[in-house]
Amino acid sequence: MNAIAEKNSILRCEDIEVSYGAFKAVSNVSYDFKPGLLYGLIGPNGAGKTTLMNALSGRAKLSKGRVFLNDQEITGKSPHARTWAGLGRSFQITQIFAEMTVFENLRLAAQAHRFRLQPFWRPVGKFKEIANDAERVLSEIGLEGFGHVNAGSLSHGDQRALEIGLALLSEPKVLLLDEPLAGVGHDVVETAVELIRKVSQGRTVLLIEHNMDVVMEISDEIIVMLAGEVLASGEAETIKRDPRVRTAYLGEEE
Amino acid sequence: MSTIVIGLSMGMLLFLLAAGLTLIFGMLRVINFAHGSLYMLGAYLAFQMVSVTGSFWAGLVAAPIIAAIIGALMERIALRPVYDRDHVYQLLLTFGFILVLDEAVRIIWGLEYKQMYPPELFAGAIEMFGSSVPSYRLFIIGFGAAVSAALFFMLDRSRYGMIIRAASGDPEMVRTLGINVSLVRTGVFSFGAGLAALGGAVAGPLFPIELGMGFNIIIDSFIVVIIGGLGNIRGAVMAALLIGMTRALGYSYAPSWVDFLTFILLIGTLILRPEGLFSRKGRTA
Amino acid sequence: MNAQRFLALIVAIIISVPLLFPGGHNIGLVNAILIWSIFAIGFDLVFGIAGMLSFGHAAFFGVGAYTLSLLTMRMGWDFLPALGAAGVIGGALALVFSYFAIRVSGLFFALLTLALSQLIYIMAGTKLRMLTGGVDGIAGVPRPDLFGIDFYDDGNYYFFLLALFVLALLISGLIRISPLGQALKAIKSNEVRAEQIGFNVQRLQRSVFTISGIYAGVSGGLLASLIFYVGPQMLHWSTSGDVVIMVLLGGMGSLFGPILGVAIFEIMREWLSMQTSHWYGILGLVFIICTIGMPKGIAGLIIQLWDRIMPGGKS
Repeated sequence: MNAIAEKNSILRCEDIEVSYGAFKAVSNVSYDFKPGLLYGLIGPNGAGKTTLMNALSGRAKLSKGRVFLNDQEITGKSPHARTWAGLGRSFQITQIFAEMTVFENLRLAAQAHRFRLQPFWRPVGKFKEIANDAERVLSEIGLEGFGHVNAGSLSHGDQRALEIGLALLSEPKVLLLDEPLAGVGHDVVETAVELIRKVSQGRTVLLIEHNMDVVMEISDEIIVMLAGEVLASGEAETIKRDPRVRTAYLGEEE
Repeated sequence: MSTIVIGLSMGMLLFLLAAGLTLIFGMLRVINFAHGSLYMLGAYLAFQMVSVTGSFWAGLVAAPIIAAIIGALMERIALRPVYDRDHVYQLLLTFGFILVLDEAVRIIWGLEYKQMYPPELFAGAIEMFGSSVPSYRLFIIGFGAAVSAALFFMLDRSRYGMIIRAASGDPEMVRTLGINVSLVRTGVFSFGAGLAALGGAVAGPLFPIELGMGFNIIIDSFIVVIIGGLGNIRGAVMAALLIGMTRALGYSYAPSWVDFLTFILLIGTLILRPEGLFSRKGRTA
Repeated sequence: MNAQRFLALIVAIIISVPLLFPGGHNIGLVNAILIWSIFAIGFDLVFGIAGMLSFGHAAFFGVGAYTLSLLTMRMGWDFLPALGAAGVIGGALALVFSYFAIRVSGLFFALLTLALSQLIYIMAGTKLRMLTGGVDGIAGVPRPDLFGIDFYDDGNYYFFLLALFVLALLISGLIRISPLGQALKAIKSNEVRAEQIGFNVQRLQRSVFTISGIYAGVSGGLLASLIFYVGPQMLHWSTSGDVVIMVLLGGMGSLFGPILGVAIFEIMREWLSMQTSHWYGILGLVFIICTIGMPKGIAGLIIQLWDRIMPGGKS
């Protein structure tokens, strides 16, 4: 790997492998993610997309390989340490604090980002800076006016937006989004895609998504996974024409 | 020689308790804190039957049946309403059972120690390899082995075993197949309670029957169940024999360290391999 | 007035009984309620706020009691520094426990804390008999000697305990609404998400477990001085069970709930044990019924009733 390539990568994985017993969920994956680009990660179910995301965010243990964020090695670091280093993510199954209000959800994320040791000598309401952060993101994700609503009673689409908001508050340089459009109603897909476009401004995004039209449209680069390995990567047009991808997806003969 | 016999008989006794605990956990995801109390209840019930009928065997049969009925009631009345809550509530409920069962025993039988005698058939001792071994201990080993063989046969071969295994894996699926899962749960809990009481009845002639006997053995049973792997009944056999032998050896060579050893085994297992020493599955993320 | 204030009022009335009815015979009972309340308030930080069920708090409680007794009786320490040491040792032991126990979660956490505390119990009864007096315990634990006040009089000791109780309540109240308390609630609500937004989950859990250990150590020391005695029973797992019952009975996760639970537990112990020797079994029944019927305890029930009676005045 030459010096220029290293300078230009924000997130890099080297030959990573995640295995459960004899089963290799992810193997031989090496990739350089460049700053500011939006990567679409596609592949059939069971291809290892979410496991790769788990490996990057620290939820899955690597059996082999290394991960670097901004040229700092983060292999083996816990998820919260990676968040601190600038890696945010959303989950396939919505993970929010369901019985708290939307504002409280966001304030918690702001607080987690601001304080390394959580203060215990003042009520949380007295820390104006975290309330301001929360308010800012509340409008960024288009949930103004929903601050006092219980997060669990939001519509599914709004919960997905809240999840992205929670990730945004850690001011991530790299954002991993695991199927942010899954289960989102047709009428609001446009809004959701708009939000993804907006949050990808100035940061690297890795997006797992099954809606091919959306992925092809908004990604700068597409990565195709199959059986735990990266099958192909490149611009949308190249990928669409790639015979290996066509075989994998459509079962066409090469 | 007698150390081995004591170890094996302890192991078999522990297995009777651990089998119930681990079956209940596998099926209901409940760690039954009150299992020791059911064991104690079994001993008292057997004692009562023996003093009424004069027959040890009557006690051995009646105690588990009565305890199984009590277990079924416990599951129906108390546990069923809280299945959809956090598992912690179920644990707390079984903790409440301890208080009630212990009190019930205190009210019925009082505080003084009770003594039970082995049946005449196994009252003596047998010479084995130059040492004298109480034949009742040998009976326990044989009885325990028979019960575990029956248990394995039932779980592996019978329709009930298949339902139980399927229902502990995926209750929703089994329910859609038309099986009454809630009945299976009651059955398993009741069966586990019966096994605990059977253990108590068998242990009756070995130890003084007293209120504290439940707690003394429950810790060991937890150790067995956890070392064997929660819900893993084969692991429980191995672990029960391991703990039984450890105890027996400990008593003869370093009596004051026995409790330490077993606790440290438990703590070590919980920390290093919470899925159990005898579990084949690797730890999943 | 909202429901929370109403709860506060009930608590205030319970603990000020000796002031409202001076010269009554309830002073010993109220003193015990104050001490157990400190224990329960601290326990609820772990159980109600952070959502960790510990069955090992007897260890911190008992070790605090032994620390205070040994330091004052054998080492000649003054009461207050010894009480501080009881808190420190209780907290330190909790920190040690947490390093082992937090690696596992849920039911395993409960079992592991239980096993660790029983290990301490066995040690106190056997290996450390020289220090602890074995099953006999240590009699003659002193009370504080301050400002020339005779704290051996229960009426005077009440004020000392009341001051500590109020302090404990204030600190706990502050922790609950502070960023620390919010972070702990977040962990209880969704651990995966809490970790992903950058909370160091294990460190936060260790912190609250330690704080709770300090509460337990202090209250254990105070109980030893109240009854002039410390014995291994305080280390026994049934003591952990008692505090679980108290908190669940009163209402886990609420500031005043655990105190109500303690009050009811202690009053039942006092009255029922006079009526019948089987009060513990009755307690068990009450506990089972409460666990099934009112998971939020008496505090939760009162809040619910209050909101129904006083529509519009939402708490």
